[in-house]
Amino acid sequence: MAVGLGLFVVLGLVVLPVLVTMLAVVLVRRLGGDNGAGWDPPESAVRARRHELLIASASALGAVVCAGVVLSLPVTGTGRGALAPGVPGFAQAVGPFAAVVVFCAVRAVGELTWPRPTGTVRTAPLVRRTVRSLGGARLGRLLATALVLVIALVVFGLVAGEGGRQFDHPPVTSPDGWVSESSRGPFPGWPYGGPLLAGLVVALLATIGTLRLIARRSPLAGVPGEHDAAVRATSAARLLGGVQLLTGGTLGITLWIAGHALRPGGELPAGAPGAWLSGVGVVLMVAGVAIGVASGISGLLTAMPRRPAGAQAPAARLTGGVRA
Amino acid sequence: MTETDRQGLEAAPDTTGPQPAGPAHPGPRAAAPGPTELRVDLSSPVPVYEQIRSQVVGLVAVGALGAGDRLPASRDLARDLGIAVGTVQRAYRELEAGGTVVSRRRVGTVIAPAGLRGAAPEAGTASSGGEDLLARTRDLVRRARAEGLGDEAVLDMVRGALRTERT
Repeated sequence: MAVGLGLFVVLGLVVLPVLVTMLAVVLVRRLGGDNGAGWDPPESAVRARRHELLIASASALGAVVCAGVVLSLPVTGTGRGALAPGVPGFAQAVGPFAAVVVFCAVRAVGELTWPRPTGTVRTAPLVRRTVRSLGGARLGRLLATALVLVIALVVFGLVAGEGGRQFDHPPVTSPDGWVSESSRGPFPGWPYGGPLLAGLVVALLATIGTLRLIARRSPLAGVPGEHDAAVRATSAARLLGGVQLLTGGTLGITLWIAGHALRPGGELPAGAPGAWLSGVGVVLMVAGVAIGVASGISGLLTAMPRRPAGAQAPAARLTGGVRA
Repeated sequence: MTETDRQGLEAAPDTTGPQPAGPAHPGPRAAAPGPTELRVDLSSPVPVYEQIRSQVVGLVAVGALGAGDRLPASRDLARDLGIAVGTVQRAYRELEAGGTVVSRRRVGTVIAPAGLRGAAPEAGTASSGGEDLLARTRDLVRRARAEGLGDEAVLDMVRGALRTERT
């Protein structure tokens, strides 16, 4: 049994994440044109993009391994390895933010590996680079997602039942006079909400700090300005995309779990108090799925590299060649 | 344009014509600078702060930088160029003393309005004379490059014309 467990750990936490990440890297290089065939960039820009892809791959791998480790922890909240005794699924709840921190940490280390300005002739753009200018709309969406998550956790914490891990449905009086009370869980009350809020703050701070490192990176020697800017934009987009995927996924799962708990377990009599909660529960579940899927797609799309300003898309170049 | 401005522009090596033998450790071959990029040569006899100052003045003169454009923070530009922060700060002080830029708290260093600068009329202003002169200058550069002349050759022509056209 020990051999089987060890084999599972090796396959599930090491081999599988490495294979998935390598597959993602190959797809990005094939579909994103990182081989330079579509844009005809200078060799220095191609080398820079390869380095950026290496950093992105390492950070993604770190996040995947972290997620794998977290998922392997016991869910029941008891026994050895339980992070929070009495709170089932605690590790899995805060796991996405742990993955964000690892994702940002590996990216930050990677940003420090870019070569510093050398040589006697050096260039620099007369452009101010800030976290806000580099983050753009993607940073705004991430902050909006975080704000919705904060509001949701606070509301769920206030309406949770005793213990914070279940939702108490309003008592229902049956036609023959019986009063029934029911509770349903799991529910993201304060036992989960508090640590999730703390994890969200830490994750956002790590993201902003890493984004600042990307903004402050010196221009790459020998790389034309527009290509250097494109590499920087790609770094920022991949960072924010990965964090959006994990944060949006956490919001989606939280809404789905809360919505599921709001729905009563059985059929309610017509006009029973709290019957509207079923509708609210359905809305939350649907919203959770939609937000999770949208965040996932948004995050995965950022894996594609950004083109320098003025560069034609490969399809446009092909069309231009045919017309000529 | 003063003599030191010309020296500052000359400090930026010519990348359009045949390249002369470089210094002992030139580093990676520098890419041609973009429209609003600085290019400094650490091996030039012209001080780096003067190279920065004269290039900013030149960019303002041709309209690549306009009133209100914010320059990078001195520490950020110093980090980008790999030079001391004090060198960039001196360049900014010289630019402010010449009226090219103004420094404001929380905003940083911005290009001054044309009225505060003692230089040529800002490109794009209502002065048709200034726009015409800039257009002719650009045309001169285009024609010179079309004929294979490098930046140094163009500057030699301008210097010669300045000397011979003194009134």
